[in-house]
Amino acid sequence: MTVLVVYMDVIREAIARKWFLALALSTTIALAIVGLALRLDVVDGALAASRLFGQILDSDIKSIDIALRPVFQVGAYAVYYIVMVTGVFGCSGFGPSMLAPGRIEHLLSLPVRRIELLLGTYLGVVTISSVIAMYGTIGLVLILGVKTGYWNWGMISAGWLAAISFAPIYASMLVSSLIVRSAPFCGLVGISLVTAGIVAGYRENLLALWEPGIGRTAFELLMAPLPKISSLAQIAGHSAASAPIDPGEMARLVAGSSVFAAAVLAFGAWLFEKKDF
Amino acid sequence: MTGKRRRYGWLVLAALLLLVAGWLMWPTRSDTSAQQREITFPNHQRSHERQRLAGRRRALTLLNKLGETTQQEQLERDPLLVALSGAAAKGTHLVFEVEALKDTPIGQIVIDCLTNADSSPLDKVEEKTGISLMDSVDRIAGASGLLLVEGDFSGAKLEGLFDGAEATAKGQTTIYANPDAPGGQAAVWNKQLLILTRDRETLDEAIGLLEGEVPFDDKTIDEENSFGEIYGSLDVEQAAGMFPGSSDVGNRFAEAAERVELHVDASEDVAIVANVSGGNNDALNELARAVGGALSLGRIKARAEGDDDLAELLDFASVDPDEGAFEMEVALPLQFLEDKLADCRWMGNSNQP
Repeated sequence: MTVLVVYMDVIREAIARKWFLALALSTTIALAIVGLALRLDVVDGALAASRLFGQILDSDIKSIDIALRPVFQVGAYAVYYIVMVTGVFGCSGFGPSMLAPGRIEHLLSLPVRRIELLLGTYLGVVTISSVIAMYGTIGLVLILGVKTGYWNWGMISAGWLAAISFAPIYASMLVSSLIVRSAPFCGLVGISLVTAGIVAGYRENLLALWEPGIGRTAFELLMAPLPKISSLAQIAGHSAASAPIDPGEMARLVAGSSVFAAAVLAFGAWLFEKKDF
Repeated sequence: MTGKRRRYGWLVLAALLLLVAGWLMWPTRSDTSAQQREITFPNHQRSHERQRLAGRRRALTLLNKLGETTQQEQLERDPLLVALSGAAAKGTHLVFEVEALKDTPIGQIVIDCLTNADSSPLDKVEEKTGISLMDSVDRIAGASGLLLVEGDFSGAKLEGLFDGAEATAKGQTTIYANPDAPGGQAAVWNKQLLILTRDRETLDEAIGLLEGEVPFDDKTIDEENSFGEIYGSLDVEQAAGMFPGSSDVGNRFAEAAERVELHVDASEDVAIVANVSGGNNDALNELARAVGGALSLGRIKARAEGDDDLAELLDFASVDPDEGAFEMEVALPLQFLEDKLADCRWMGNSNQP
């Protein structure tokens, strides 16, 4: 219950920030531009031509869902990485602000356990990133659905995967603020982890280029527990494009990312418990 | 002490969870998609097909048709296509690359049916003529009343094909026919091309084309279009009949299309490319849209009926309209064709394996 109070506090703070309003507004404008500029010629369930700003993109006559696959795939990738980048920069201030001198002492004087404070903040930010991801994906689904009559619910799972992937990134950012109470530092940690997660997704390809040795083993071990950002982005893209995906691989990566987030939060709980304010 | 123990409990939990995360994501595949089907549509001549064509060309003295006039010329042409051109001008013609098809799954099904039959037609032909269709034949082509078999017939006893047939020579051709019996006629050109016809007129036309006595029109069969494992052109009425359950599309097809050129790749699943052309651009554009819609509906129907294999392959179906023509690409799953062909009923015998 106390976690919920902290959670609501984070949501209120996010709404109060103009940055999030700007983000919502820019996403809406981007969706409106796509909606107005894309003209789709649909005949008997098949797409006869698609035009963007009056220019013909594709004149082949194909089933709507197949013709729109590239649009949904690009949309899924865009939403996924926009959520990552805007999430890192937009949410980097929540941790340091919670730990600001005066505020943290006030919070700790309340009947709130430190782990609840950590969890409430974490869940609040993850909810915000999920809302951003869902707003973008549902918006795209609605626009293309109204224009073509084809409703691609696979796109929703792409938004959900973006939110899932951001969760371990934010866990690391939040815990890093317990070490250095600075929003730029949190942002740096977040963007570094996103980059490392992209590299981790290509771990097997990169390992093939390395000679066996300590360096190779160290890289292998270091990359193993990191969230596989690029692999999850690929799954999001395939899912949005209704292309076949390996459900076992997806479950493994989603579970792995969630467990990594839990590991980082547990480490954060240890740091928080031993810290004097 | 309890607080300190609890603190270290978090640390141990973090380490354990990190190990679990590493275990869960070890190893990772760089390509997270499930195995996707690869379909290669035969929509242009590939390098091995260009080489194949170059190897088949022979210096022929042809009575070349140049507009309204004809002139005997020495030209490098594929003899099978030259002999086929006369009958091909009258309607459907198809060329089967037997040598290439033998190595395909669908070719194997057909061969199994032919070889396992109680009275194998392949055995009958070999017994009568000494021609082993499996070893000697490279290509088979068919058109109105004409069947051409290309291969090595140097040791063949073609007199055995028809009772009482006599061999007569004409240029590079040996004709086998029984003047007293109506029916089958045969000829072999240059020991490499077996010509089988129902009537003497068609046989004389095919021989005349090869021997430079009958006008040859280069435009009837374009050599550059000899690609895929099966290729040729379809009679428009026949092609229109291939739209089951959507007779409206079939009718529109018969009205707007003037020529249907076909290319089939059977290396795995069967990929078909049909180039449809006609004189009325607007009617063809409408037809292209209607065909695209019909393919789309077919895919939805396959998905609704749980035929995921067919639905997955129809994902690749598309119609590409152009000025005065359109190209249609369709793929059929091997399983779909196995179901149709593997019981050998198409041979008229349901007891075959």
